[in-house]
Amino acid sequence: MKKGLLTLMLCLLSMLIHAQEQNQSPIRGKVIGASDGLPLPGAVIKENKGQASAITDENGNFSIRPLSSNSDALIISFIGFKRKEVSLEDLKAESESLIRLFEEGLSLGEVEIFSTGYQDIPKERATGSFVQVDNELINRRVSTNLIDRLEDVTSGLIFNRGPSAVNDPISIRGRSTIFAETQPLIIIDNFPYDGPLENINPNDVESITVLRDAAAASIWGARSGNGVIVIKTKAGGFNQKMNVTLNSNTNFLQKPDLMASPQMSISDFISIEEMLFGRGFYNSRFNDNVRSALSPAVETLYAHREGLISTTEKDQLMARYAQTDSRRELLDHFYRTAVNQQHSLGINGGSQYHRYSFSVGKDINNGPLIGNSDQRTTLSFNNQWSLINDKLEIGALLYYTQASRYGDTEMPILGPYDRIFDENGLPAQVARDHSIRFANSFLETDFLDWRYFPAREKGILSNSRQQADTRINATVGYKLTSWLKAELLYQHWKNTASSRDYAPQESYGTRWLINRYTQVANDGTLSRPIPLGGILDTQHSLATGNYGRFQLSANKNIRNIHQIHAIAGAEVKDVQTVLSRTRYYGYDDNFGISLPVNYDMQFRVNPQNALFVIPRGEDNDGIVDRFISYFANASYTFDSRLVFSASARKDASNIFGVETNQRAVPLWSSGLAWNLSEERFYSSNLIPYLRLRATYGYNGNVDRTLSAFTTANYLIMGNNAINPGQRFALIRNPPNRNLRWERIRTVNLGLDLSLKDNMLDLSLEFFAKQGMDLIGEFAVAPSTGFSTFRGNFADTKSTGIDIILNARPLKSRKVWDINFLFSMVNEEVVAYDRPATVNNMLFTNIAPVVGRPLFSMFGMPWAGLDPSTGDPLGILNGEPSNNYLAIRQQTTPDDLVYLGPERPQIFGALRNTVHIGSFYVSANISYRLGYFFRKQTVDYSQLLNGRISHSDFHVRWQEPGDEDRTNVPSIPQVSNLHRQFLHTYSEAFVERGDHIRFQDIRLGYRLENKKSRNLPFKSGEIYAYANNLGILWKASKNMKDPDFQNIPPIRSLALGFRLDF
Amino acid sequence: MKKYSISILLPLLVLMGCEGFLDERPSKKIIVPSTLDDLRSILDNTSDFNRGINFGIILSDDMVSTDQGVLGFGNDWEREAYKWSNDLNDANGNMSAWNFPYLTIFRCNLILEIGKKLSPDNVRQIQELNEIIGSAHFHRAKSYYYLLEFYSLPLRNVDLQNIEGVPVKTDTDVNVLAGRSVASEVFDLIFEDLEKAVSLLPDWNNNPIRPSKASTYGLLSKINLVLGHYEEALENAEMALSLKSDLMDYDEIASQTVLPLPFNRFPFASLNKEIIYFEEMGTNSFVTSPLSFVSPDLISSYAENDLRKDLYFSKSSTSENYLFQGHYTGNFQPFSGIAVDEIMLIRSECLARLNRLDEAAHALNTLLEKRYRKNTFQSLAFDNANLALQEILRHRRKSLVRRGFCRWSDLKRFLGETWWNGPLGRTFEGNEFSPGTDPGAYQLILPIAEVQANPFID
Repeated sequence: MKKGLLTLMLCLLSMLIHAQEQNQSPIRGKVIGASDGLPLPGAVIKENKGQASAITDENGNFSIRPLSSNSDALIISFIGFKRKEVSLEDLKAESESLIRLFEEGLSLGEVEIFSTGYQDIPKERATGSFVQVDNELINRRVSTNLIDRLEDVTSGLIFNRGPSAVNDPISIRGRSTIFAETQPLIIIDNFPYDGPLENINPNDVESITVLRDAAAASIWGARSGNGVIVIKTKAGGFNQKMNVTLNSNTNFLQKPDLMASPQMSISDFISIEEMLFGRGFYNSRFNDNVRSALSPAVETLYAHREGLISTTEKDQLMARYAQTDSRRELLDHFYRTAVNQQHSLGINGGSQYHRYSFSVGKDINNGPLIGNSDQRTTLSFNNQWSLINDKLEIGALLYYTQASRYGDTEMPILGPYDRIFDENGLPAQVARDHSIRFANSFLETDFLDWRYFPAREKGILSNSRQQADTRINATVGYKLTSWLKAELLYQHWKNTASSRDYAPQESYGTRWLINRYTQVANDGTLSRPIPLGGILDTQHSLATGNYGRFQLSANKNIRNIHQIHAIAGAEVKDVQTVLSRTRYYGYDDNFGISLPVNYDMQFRVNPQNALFVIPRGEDNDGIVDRFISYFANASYTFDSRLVFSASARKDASNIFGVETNQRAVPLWSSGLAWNLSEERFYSSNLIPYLRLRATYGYNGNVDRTLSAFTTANYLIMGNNAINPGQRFALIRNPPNRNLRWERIRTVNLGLDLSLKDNMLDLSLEFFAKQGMDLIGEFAVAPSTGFSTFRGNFADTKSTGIDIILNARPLKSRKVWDINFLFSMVNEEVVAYDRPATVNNMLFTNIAPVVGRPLFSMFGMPWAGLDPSTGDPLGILNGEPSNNYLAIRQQTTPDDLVYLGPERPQIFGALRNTVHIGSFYVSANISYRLGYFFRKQTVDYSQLLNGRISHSDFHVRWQEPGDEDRTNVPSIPQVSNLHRQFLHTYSEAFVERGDHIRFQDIRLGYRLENKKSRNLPFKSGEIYAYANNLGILWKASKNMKDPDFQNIPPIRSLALGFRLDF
Repeated sequence: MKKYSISILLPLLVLMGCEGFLDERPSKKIIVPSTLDDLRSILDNTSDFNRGINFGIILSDDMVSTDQGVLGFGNDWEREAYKWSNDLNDANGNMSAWNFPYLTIFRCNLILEIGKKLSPDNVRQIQELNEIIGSAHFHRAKSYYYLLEFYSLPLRNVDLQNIEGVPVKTDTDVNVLAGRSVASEVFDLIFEDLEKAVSLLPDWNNNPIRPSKASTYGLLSKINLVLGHYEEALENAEMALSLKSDLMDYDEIASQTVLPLPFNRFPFASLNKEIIYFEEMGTNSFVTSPLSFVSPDLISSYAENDLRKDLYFSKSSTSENYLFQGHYTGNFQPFSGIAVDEIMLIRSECLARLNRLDEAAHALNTLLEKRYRKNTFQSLAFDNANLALQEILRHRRKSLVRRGFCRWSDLKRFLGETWWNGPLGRTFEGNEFSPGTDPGAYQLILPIAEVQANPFID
């Protein structure tokens, strides 16, 4: 009976449906994502005025029969994508329609998908802190290198300047570590990149995602403590017409402004030299054992004293010296405007089953130093196939870079007022290594010429460096079920580099070395242990990397209410580098022949007759870098409103000399996001999009150079050791049994909102990072056998805010865009378990003071200048004092004056882009606030030892009363190290670094091939870009540019065009 | 699902099986020292182990300079040293006289720690290990002795338990610091170390770069001399000489050298046969400056045919003064190791102090025979202990010019002797400087870097 009833109902139903079908034929279509062309399974199709509905299958296909004759459109919706309405008329016209859905968020073609390197996460599903830098922003700045493009356009990312930046060029959200790997991890096409970043052509980059917090970065584990930069190269698009892009630009960089460096005047320096000469300071140097080189003024005074030149001649020469500045000489004869050319061609597109991107790029840079240039050629070919109904995905990527660098000129070594050409326009002789008297005394002998003429050294060398970098990426993904996919990814990386430096016999360096070892027998005959001929140094390195990853990903959509996305897998990395160096003496470049030398024997070298062996240029070295990791990542979305995420990872590496059980470190994170605007109770028209998110987790950081055990380096004794050629082991570091990995705990809270009509997009984040067991280098008592020691020593805390604001105040997107980045970072030391020393705090700016930022500016307490002598006054026992030794000995870390953080606490940028018709102008202003720097000042110890010093010399105290207008002390009679220490490190010379900088401006004219025009290309653009335009405001009155104390950053102007076909 | 499980698990299993994968050393040249060869290679770093301290040169009365020479010194602390200041801190608050010995001490402690864990297989290895351990003890004792010579008060005829010494470290843990031990404790360690060295080292291995019994006895005799223990010093000296007593013949060398000695010519061979233990000192400007002269009173004390004057000194081209070039290193670096002539002089001095005057004379004559032009030397004979001592000490000064810090050590140990009134001073910019006879003037203050970083030292 039941069975019968069921059958009846089914029949009725089918008749009903059939009845409807007789009215309407099914409409078929396929729904894909607009950004990547991939099918969207589980999208809901509804007729706009009826009951019929359908859901797309795993290939994005659907078939729907509208039930109501009133319906005239289909509404297609999918979580995270904008609802789309398509008219039935349009759909019926095609046999199978392709419907593209755009992601929520920024409209019209700008979709935010964050690439983590493991998976792509649409913004909706992301709980962590991600910043995306899109293609347009990447291409805004003109530069050869990729990393430069991120400067001042990426929230939370700062390019560090100042003396400590050498080791630490980029920081994301402040620095969580001191010495362990300070660089963010760079991921390219899903794998870490271990090669030089200069090898990536920015034109090949599709998007860059910066992962800033634990949730974002813990996916990458041990090296993600400083943030992760994920780079995706262009891949074309499925079902996309072929697109050809041609980009070409030329960038002109001005010569470095050497004259801007704060050096004291030449004439004042010469006066000091005269004073020292009068005191007899140089007497021990005129004929010393190494025949020291002396400045022209000192030589002239000596010649005059010896009666070799008249007083009139001396005065003439001294006057001429005062008019010369060797920096001007360098600018005139060795520097030029650098011209960098960049050309690239990209072709991408795709069919239903295949997408591709092909590119070729060439950069030719003629460097600022005459005779030096470098080139880079990049070639990339990226293919992806989606077969068997999108079940099987295969990807193959080849990226090849060839880079070369050429140099034929070495920067000359000049004293402050040496000339390159004399008054007759002939090459001038400069004292180098030895005095001119010494060099000239060999002219009648068979020795090679000892003299140094910088002008003759131009173009004399032949130095070249070639590099070939190949990356082959292969991926295979197979959908085991509709929701489970298995992927295997493999990358092979190879980098070969070789350099060849040839210094012919005519070059100064080679002549000097040959002469140095020339032996004179009792009868006067010469023999040459270093034979006549050139010197050739070659170096080869080969780095090979194999990276493999196996990963399972699950993407399940349960009744459109529950969505689960998860990945789990393991990966392995093995990078090996081999390096070798050789040197050839007596090298004849015409025939490629070199001559043997005796490395075992000690020779008496000229002129000091000391025993030395001939320097060897041979070496072989190797590096092995291995990693094994296990990872898992999952997110659960409830009704597209709530997202829960979690990730965990375990890393193990062959890091050296760590107890085996300490090799692996587990790291994890978890997150939560709430899409408020999806809630039923939410109905604001003003703010159509509102989202909250929070994450919590642990990152780790690793210092590959550190070991818990004592390590030693095997080397060969050389130089003037008593046992040359002997193999020995040099101790590198003492044992550190308590060595632990650094851990960083991060909490991140975020708010994203959009105002209606896209007038304003705001992303506001608050983060709190806790760094534990940070590794740093700190001073230890020399009685341990070491002066410094690297180990775990501090816990720090940093909190901050990152704000990204995009506003379009004039309703329409295209007229005025304001992009405002604001970041605030507040760092402080929580615990420090090493003794603090005054030396450490003043020399390295690392402050072991609880409650203060880790990088802080401190100064010696200052009591001004003595009104009668101009001597600097410090504080001793609470009173002003000039007992410099006692001050130095008795000042404790608590006595030092704290002035402020060394790194900017607030930084960001304001970028305005205005479109007027086809023209646009975009200007970027960056700002750095809330930090201090130590201003350089004159060093009297250097000056009184005959070396030129800082221009503060001109504002020094000279007579009573001057102490009211200057802090620069008088020049002492005799150099006094402890007095100079007080002067250099006084609190009076620490200044605020706050400034606002006009970073760059870009102008362009865009052409679109619209209906009216008949252009050979689809769209095009000509543009101009100017960089480093100058400081708009600064807090310090005594510094032209707070971040660049010596030479201002180089200004450049680029012109270029881009065509799309 | 089942059929897929294998393909998923297999790669994971493979990965987990590769434990050795992570054991590979990250860099070819870097190792954790653990074998016998590694320890030997650590010792072969002559820059760390065979390095002496040059403070003694400028802190002695053998050297004198002009105002301009002093002004021309490269560092401020060198000028302070010329004035015999106690504070020789450089610009960073460091002193090489402190840092170098402790650097060596760490390495010795490391070698001893690792050496304890090794178990040699055969006779050759046992010998090698003994020599390595013995060397470590030797170098450690030597380093502590050097530290005391500069940072403690004079050590002769005093209660060593009341004299401030230096921190003693016998472990490699950088986290463990120590305050200043008293001198007696430091000497306990020194003598313990040297006893062990004597028992482990070979008599004489024909390689003066490596320590031997001969060099250990030599060092013991120097230390006992400084402490005023003349009997022990004599015994040690004789033990050393019984193992090595070759002397260079200065007459032979003079015949092969261009005389008068030109500037920058070093007449002695670099590892000559007189050296028992090779050590050289680094050069600061006061060492190499052509205005760093030998004290005129010393120069005038040499007799007519004394070849030491001819081979050690070169007349300056700019003045009547002489420069020192008789380095036993054969190079521009001064020699600070132990040589036969010094041990012979110790022997002679001890014999004189013990009133064994004939033997004292004989010992001195053996040395001086090889220092004078052939057939010009007239043997000495002593009949008065005081006069004998003075004569021996004069020859000691004439032989050991710029020899390590021998003269500085002598200036310290002479204090309190009835016949000693302190060294001749030096003038600089019109002022006279001399350490005089106050023991406090012969002790350097500790480096600022140590005081700041060591909570046990104030």
